[in-house]
Amino acid sequence: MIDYIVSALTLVSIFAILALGLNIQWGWSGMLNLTFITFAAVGAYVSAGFDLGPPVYAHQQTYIIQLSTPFPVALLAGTLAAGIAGGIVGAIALRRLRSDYFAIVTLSIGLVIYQVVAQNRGIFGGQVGLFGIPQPFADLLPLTPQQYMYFYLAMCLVALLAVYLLVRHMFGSPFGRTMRAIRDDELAAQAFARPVFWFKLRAFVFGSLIAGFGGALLSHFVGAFNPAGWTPGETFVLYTAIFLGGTGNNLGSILGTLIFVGIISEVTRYIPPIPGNPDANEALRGVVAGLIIILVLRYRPQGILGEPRDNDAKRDSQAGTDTYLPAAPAVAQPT
Amino acid sequence: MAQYLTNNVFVDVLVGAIVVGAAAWLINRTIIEPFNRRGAKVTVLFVVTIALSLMIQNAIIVFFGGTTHSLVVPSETVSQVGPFLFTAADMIVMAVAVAIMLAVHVILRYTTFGKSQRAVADSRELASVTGINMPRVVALTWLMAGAIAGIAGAVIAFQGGTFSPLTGYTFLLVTFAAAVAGGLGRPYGAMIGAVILGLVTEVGGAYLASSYKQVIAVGILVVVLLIRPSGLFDARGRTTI
Repeated sequence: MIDYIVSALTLVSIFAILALGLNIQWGWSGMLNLTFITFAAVGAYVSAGFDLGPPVYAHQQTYIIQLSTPFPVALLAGTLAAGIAGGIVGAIALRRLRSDYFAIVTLSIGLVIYQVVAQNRGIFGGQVGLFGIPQPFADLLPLTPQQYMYFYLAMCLVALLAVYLLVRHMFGSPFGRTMRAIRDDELAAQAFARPVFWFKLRAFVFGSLIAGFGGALLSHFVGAFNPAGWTPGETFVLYTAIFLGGTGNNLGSILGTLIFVGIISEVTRYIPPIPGNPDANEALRGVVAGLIIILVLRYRPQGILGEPRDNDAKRDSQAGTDTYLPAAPAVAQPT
Repeated sequence: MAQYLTNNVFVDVLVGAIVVGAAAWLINRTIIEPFNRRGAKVTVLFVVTIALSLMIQNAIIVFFGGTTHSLVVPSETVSQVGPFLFTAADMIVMAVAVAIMLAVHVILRYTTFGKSQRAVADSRELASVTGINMPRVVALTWLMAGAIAGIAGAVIAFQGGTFSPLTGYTFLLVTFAAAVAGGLGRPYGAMIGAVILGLVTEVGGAYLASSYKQVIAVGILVVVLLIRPSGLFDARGRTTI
């Protein structure tokens, strides 16, 4: 039982890191990146490629990179690779696109990357993926498997704390405040001579770096990684956590992950399965995720915690609505 | 499901249109409209519709299972016209497509609803000022789009013979790609876009692996959005959206 809780908590802390990264893109900056998990996958695959070494079972597994560097190097490589991928995708998708087309373009690019990686065995093992990913520091530390689980949880918690402190610092920095200004009114921010595109691109890359960092921790925790681990549904898990905890609120992202990934998702595993329908429990999680998103947006758009708005004149203003327009008519653009 | 009751494809299509149209109308009424009234951002509405699709798709898996369902399709006789081979199912699909195109054309061009709909699409504020009942137009648009989607779904299941809860997802981006390629808000453009996209993905899929069909389609979507966001046939050329 205690092993189970430790493993679940490790997963929660890794997902919380990912949620913090996505919160920068969506919560602070209003960029609806529907393929965030792809950048986590880049970090997961590249970091694994950096410390997996040449394949042991060459007939089953083929992949690129094949280095045997220590884990910190692999972690750094995965993080940077995701950041570079974020830079490329962001530079394409952020050009001249309205927010909803931006979302469609991210979803599309993610789908292309997914199909190419899943269908080509030569890149990262195709559908089989990578397995036998070495446990970080395991050869340096004389630990029993159970002790190692505690060690990995501690490592993930430290990583989560570090990312949180970094993100919290950035939230109040000129960069963070500019991002939220751009989100709330892009034209106004432009009028104040803020280079909107560069700011958005930086936020996108920054979120992608965190995604790669979390992804690297994820693949080394599980020891294997394949396309089943980064379906588009995983991105919605993160969105559910962010909406639930409080869009824009960093602590809220962590809280939302704890509630949705740690509690709600785990509970749906234990609902007795419907005979003859093995997918029902997994699907139930999707139903709950969609329901949570709709209910939160309808009845409490700011989420449980809400975005801190200490300096705002209107403290009860809600993120996600156009509060600067008096009784705004529906602003949907003609399509 | 209608297949359990009857073996007639036209009944299938009709049931699909009524059920999905009614569902779309209900979704707009109960879920989307409150957000519209509150003046929610486009992005928020976008997220709501994604969450809805996540919910509906997974609810279908919970209730009907995630496996692929098969339809009993009447035995097929293949007929040949020039270099093309058709089955009876293909003919029905094409007939349905042409019928829907004509119906959309008539509705948009000759009915008051169609005219109001085009006015709302151009400018919601102006349309409201001229006395168009906007919520009603939006609700009817949901009904119409849902009914057409329902017909398309029934036809897809009939033509392919199988369907699964994931069928819709595979078609979502492809459909969007066709609409964007033809120019959003232009029904005739969307029709031509769909024909072009269908040809390109099928021919491309024959040279590459067939699993790349969808990749080709979304590739076109991205390129068109970035280079010619107003669609391939717009005389105005580059416009920013």
